[in-house]
Amino acid sequence: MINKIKKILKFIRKPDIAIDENTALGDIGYDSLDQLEAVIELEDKFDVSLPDDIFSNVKTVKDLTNEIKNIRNSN
Amino acid sequence: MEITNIEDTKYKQIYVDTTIRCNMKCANCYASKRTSPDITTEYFEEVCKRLPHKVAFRLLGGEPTLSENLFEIIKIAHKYHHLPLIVTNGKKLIDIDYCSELKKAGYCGVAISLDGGIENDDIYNIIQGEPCLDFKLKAIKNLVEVGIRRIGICAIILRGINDDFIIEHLLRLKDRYPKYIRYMHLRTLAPFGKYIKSSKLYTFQEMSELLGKYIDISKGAKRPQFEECVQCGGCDRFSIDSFEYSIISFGNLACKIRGQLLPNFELAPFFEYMKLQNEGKI
Repeated sequence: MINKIKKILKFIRKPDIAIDENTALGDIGYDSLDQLEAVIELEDKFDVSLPDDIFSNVKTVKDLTNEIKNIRNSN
Repeated sequence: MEITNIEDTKYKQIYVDTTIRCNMKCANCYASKRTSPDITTEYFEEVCKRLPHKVAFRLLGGEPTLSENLFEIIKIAHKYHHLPLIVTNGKKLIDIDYCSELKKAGYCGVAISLDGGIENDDIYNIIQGEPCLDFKLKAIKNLVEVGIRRIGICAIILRGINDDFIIEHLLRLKDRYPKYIRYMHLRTLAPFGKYIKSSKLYTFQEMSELLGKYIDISKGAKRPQFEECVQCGGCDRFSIDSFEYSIISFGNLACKIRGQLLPNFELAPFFEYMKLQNEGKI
């Protein structure tokens, strides 16, 4: 799952930094529309509804992965 | 009015009149005087190419679902990483095959107007001039069925007409499809074009207070839509439990983030353009 997420994050905007599981989402350089696009792509890929503000609620790529897993499991 | 070239624009939210044709004759319509032809896919693609940054497109009209190019426009927006949303009366969405095609075109938010609420046609008959309840509820059901996850429910707050029930109705509807209905958008009447003049306009503050009777706004996490927003006081956006609420004083001339797409690869301030056009000055 984490590899798919990394791929989506790179697809939204080519980051200046390498993305791994410990990368802070704040360091990727997304603006609010990039974040929304990422959320939409993630929803589509994992067939789940995610909150628009999910990027504000988690710190790293790994945290994002875990949060998506939690939301999927709770559904 | 300051017109800018596409290449130089700072607007992050761009309103596109996909077609000026409409399948309804609402008493409130700020676009009733428009006469432009349908936007072509060639023009739209060139606009997308020239934009200097990602934008949120608001695809409207007229009624955007009457545009034969709508699905292609959505695909083009995606190709260039822009985010489209259609603002619709929902009439065409009673056709589930149409909704399926919309879904296949790629991500597109759908904002559907529900000025008369979810119980009966009394207010729709006044505002829209025809019964709408059945098709609006069917439209939302179809969108959910085909898996469109970002549905917005919208209403114009009209004093003495729907202000005593509309928010409660929309909140009930949101709870019906919690994973699909993702935001509620309330706006004042735009005092331009056709509008019910007997209904005294709500102010932004009054609208905010009205919403505050139903939800605890103080619990809302403020989420300005764009970093560039100058906080002119004409709109507010916040989320509570991951559901988003937005209220807007429609027609606020101080807004710096909303632009209207014009011919010749130009953009105008959205509300100013709307005002001047309805005054016959452009």
